[in-house]
Amino acid sequence: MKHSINIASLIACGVMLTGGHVTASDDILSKEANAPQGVKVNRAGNIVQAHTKTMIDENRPVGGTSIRYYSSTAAAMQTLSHSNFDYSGAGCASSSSGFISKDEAIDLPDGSKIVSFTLLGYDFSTTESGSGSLAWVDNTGGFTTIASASSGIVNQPGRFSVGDFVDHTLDYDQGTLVRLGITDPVIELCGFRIGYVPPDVADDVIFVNNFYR
Amino acid sequence: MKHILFKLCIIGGLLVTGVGFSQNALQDELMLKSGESFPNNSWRSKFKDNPDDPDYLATKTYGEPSGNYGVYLPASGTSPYSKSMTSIYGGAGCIYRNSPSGFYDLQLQLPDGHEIHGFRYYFYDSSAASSTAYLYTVDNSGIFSSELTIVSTGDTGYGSVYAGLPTTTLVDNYNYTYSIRFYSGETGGNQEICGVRLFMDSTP
Repeated sequence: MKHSINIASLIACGVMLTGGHVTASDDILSKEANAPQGVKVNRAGNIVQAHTKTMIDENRPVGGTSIRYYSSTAAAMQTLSHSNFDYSGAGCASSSSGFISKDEAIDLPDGSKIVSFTLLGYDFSTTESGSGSLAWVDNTGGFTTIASASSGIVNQPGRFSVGDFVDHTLDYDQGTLVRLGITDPVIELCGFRIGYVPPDVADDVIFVNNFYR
Repeated sequence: MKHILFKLCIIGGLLVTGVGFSQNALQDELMLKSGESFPNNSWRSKFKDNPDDPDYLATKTYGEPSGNYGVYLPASGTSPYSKSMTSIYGGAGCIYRNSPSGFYDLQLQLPDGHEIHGFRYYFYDSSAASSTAYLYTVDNSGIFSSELTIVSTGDTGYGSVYAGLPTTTLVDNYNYTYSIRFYSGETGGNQEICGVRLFMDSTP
């Protein structure tokens, strides 16, 4: 019986969403939670048409270079000592008031060469900013920033993507982490992406201007 | 007489200590020493895989470069995605909802180019409500997509359900982030979220 109710609910949601009609009172969370499997939802809660669905191309040349990527969603990161964090849709995190920060331990093999760090989010403020840092800690209590990225104090139209190239090789004695910081509720951080070269490749290639070609 | 009373006191003390240990699953697990486990814990034994499910036979063993493999992730590693959502640890990696609503996200880090066949959802369901596990992606433009949804079934306790992705899905960490989202339809221990096991292929 319960299963039948679930199916009926999904069908109902599917009819509602595929019909393109979403009530204004629904918030983004319920829209995502009720989206039928395989259906894409944009930030306004509208269905994205099927022709934009791109995860079905099995011939897409992912992994065609030696650079690999480590991507994370801000919503799944651990909040540090704050009780004022919120969800703002599509994996993005925000603050309900004041400052929050989120951490993630980076699990990459020793000897990997990190070549880029990118921060993704939304910045609707001309005074506040969202920032992210790639850092390492060591067994002597040290905390060292490898790279940092910030949305700046100028509001950015649409979804921003800021970052930098990096030249850092992971060491046995270092624990690597990413820390996101949000200074105001008008800032949303959605995640980060690290580009890296696996250790077997990093040991065996020549880097020109700190970048693998 | 005094000797007997002394023994009774010792037994009583042990009983009280035992009750203390079993006050909650977290304390029980924290007391374990290296190599110790709970052999009678019903968690795994109740999660019976269906031999007909495609993830039942994983063909990859450690050290082999290719083949199917599993990524088993307990739900206790999740992060509630807003301040208003809290959970209580239920033991063996399971959590249950302790707030009016309950969504919890689990970060996925999967190798580029590997294929996600599907995943198995592990749960405890002993009420008319249900819990749900979603595999979702977000692309670089902020588009959210629910790739696979599995709802707990039955009302009789521990269970697991496997489902495959409807389309071929290769991991593309440059363009997408991957996460598991758990939802519990009820507050309290009648609905426990225990984890997922992704069924992967390293050489699609």
